[in-house]
Amino acid sequence: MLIPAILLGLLAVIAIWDLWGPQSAFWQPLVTGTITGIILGDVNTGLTVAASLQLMWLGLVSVGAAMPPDIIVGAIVGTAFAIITGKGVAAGIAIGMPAAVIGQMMQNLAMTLLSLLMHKADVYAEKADTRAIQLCHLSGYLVYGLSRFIPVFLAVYLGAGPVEKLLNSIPGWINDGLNTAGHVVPALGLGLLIHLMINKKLWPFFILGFVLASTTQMPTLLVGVLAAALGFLYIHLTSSEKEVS
Amino acid sequence: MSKENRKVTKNDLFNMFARLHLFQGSLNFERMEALGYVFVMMPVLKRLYKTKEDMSMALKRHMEYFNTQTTVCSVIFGLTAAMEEQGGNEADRAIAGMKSALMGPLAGIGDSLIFSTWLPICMSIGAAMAASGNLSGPIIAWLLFNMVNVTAKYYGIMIGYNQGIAFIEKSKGELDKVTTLAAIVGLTVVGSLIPSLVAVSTPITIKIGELSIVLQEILDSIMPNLLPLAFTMFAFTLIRRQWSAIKIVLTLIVASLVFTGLGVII
Repeated sequence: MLIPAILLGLLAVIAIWDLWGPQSAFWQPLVTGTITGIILGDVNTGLTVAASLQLMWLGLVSVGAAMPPDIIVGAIVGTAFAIITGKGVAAGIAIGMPAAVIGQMMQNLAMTLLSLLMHKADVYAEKADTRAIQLCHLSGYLVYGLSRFIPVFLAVYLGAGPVEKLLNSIPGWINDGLNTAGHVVPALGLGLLIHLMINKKLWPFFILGFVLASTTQMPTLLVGVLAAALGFLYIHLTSSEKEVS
Repeated sequence: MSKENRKVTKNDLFNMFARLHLFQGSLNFERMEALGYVFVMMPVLKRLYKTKEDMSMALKRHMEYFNTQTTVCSVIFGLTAAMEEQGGNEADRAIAGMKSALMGPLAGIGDSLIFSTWLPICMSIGAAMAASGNLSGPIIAWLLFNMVNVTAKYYGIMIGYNQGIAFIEKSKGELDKVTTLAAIVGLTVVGSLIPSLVAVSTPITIKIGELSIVLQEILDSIMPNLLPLAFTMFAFTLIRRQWSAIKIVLTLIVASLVFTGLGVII
């Protein structure tokens, strides 16, 4: 497991550099979980587990200064064990959750360590040493890289045996229940999205989307395009009403 | 702003845009993105401040606590570049004031529009495709998200620099419209994702003598996807009642375990 452990550790490094860098969504479970599947040679399991974890954690975005459980370590380790143990989504959820909490602890540790860096940077600002102050900033990426490489590498390299034993001792009904949970918990993510965007006048659009998907095979992208068209119409009509009255 | 007073080149602004992609590498509890702010501003600061004293003062000004959402922060960077160019170190307090006045409201806009609306919409579309084994799901989700994310960063800096404060005042009415449009598209897409993402059904069959009734078929004849809708509305109600996300996750997991164990849902 040495090579996969190193590769998955590096995947976590790229993901955390993306989160605190370009923020291109590479750090999202859908992407990291799928690549984990490719690295471990089981793309199909990777995709399904990645999709489940993505939907479970839809609500976990960092807002403001508080750090949520770390979906990078959670998704990579969760998907890896779903494949390694052959137990699919249930194992992904069972292992992904605690792994995400460990990732969160590493994030808090990194942010504490990097606070020390600020005083160094203050000295360089006083001296107007622009080169050193920029190196100070960039050295943060080293700290963040290690903060994710270490837990992912250790979990994959050392964990397979003990984790497999633990998963085998889980009774069948819990396994089935966790599989169902993979289908039920996305309701929370969708509920959060509704809560965030809803106002009384907009419920019809939600119902329209639900009915379209329940009765037609219209692809989601097309539903979005239709909604955008109706949305422009809605805004046009509501704002011209105001101008008249 | 007259053209003759311009010292910052288009190239400097583009360098800021490039550096914005390495903004939060030193994120820390003490001052969050302060050091990152210095890093992104560097091309402009180097263009404007040639003596050691001037540069030191400018660097120290940006080493104060700063925290906002990256995509929309592009506008603040553009504004800062304009103010540094026009006011220089004499505008020290004005620049610091502008930054702390804008970081809160813009963080709210960025978090809700980019991270809590656009990102989950893209990811749920991708996840719905991935769940059926389609490898293009993650790729499409990634491309969709960045179409908006990267474009907004680039134009944020350019507009912030060119239009200055006036833009923020002007755009308040337009922003309402953008928010409404985002909500309409978002809600419609969320509604359409319920059947595929909350894929719950019931295996219950009732046997009356020779006749066996499959409960799911009856539910489907009343209304397809009734259970997925019910679960979504249940979660939504709990959120309305101020339950924390982690509490709802645990409730849903326990409910899944119990009801699957009893053979009510699958």
